[in-house]
Amino acid sequence: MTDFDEFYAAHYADLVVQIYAYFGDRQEAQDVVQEAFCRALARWRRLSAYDDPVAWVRRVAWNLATSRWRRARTALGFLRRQREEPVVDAPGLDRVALVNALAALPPAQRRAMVLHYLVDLSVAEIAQREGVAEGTVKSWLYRGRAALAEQLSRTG
Amino acid sequence: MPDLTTLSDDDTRAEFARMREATLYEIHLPGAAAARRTVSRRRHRAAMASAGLAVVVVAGAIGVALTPPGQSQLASLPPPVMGQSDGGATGSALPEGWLYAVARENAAEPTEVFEMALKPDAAGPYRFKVVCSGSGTGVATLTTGKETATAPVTCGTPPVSSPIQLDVTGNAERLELRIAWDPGIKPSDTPEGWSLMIVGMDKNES
Repeated sequence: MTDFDEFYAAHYADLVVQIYAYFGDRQEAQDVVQEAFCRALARWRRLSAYDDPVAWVRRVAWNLATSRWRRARTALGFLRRQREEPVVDAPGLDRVALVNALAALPPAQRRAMVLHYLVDLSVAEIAQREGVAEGTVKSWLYRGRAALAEQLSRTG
Repeated sequence: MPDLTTLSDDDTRAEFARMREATLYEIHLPGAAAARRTVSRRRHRAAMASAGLAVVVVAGAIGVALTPPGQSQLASLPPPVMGQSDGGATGSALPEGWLYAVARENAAEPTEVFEMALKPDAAGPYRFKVVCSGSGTGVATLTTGKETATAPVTCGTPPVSSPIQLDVTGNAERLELRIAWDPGIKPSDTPEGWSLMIVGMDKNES
């Protein structure tokens, strides 16, 4: 087994969970994470020397999912205009309650919650990544927890 | 009295842990072997492509660690070749100088941001080419947060390269390339499947 195989086995599933938590589509998460690993493999000799190759794969997967989500949103917006009637995204039956609750959060709060509670980034690391003050991240997390409490209480 | 209107940090962690366990149960790993087959297939396809048009689509890759230009990995990588034919002499090598390539099916975002992590002691010139296919213009901004450079960007058919360079003099951890498009931007995907590509340039390249 090569070190890439070990790297893949160690991190694929967790990366899928992280992407799924933010974007809400498990199959899409699996697809983009697999694609990100393919791209990692294509440059593995260089990537394996990085301090944090997992972060590289995560960011690739995240941006792939963002691109696909934007295209889907644009396509859905086009369909809505064509139909001239409201089209509402119903919660998927296979989405766990937390993912549904996260989907209701503003993007910045949702991102902070996933990065802190799933990726285990500290407040300082999230602040640096997002280009904001640590107090802002703490506020996002506080409001995120409050919003989750409300959402989860509705679903019981 | 405990705050009943919000989840505690521990309760939140517990909820995420439950979600993680439930999701892990449903995940089926395609496997590293599947990734190898995909990469092999793409390399074979690239080998069959016309010489000089070996570009690879990566939808928004991020997180590349750049070394200081003095020992830059980019310095040893050949630039991508577009629109040229050398009769197949170069074979199937994929250019590794590219950093990001983005495909769009509808329209560009008004502003696009690409971030790169810098290794310690990263002072020196950083040079990139913004390659855009379609029509329209924009402004590229390359910044560490403390030092900034801007350059105009033009799109065209065939794709147009617009250079931008930033001399990083102090300690910096991140490099951000931001492109603000002018109204009316119309990207069009090349036959290779991208409309915007960011390429790292060797310091001696023009």
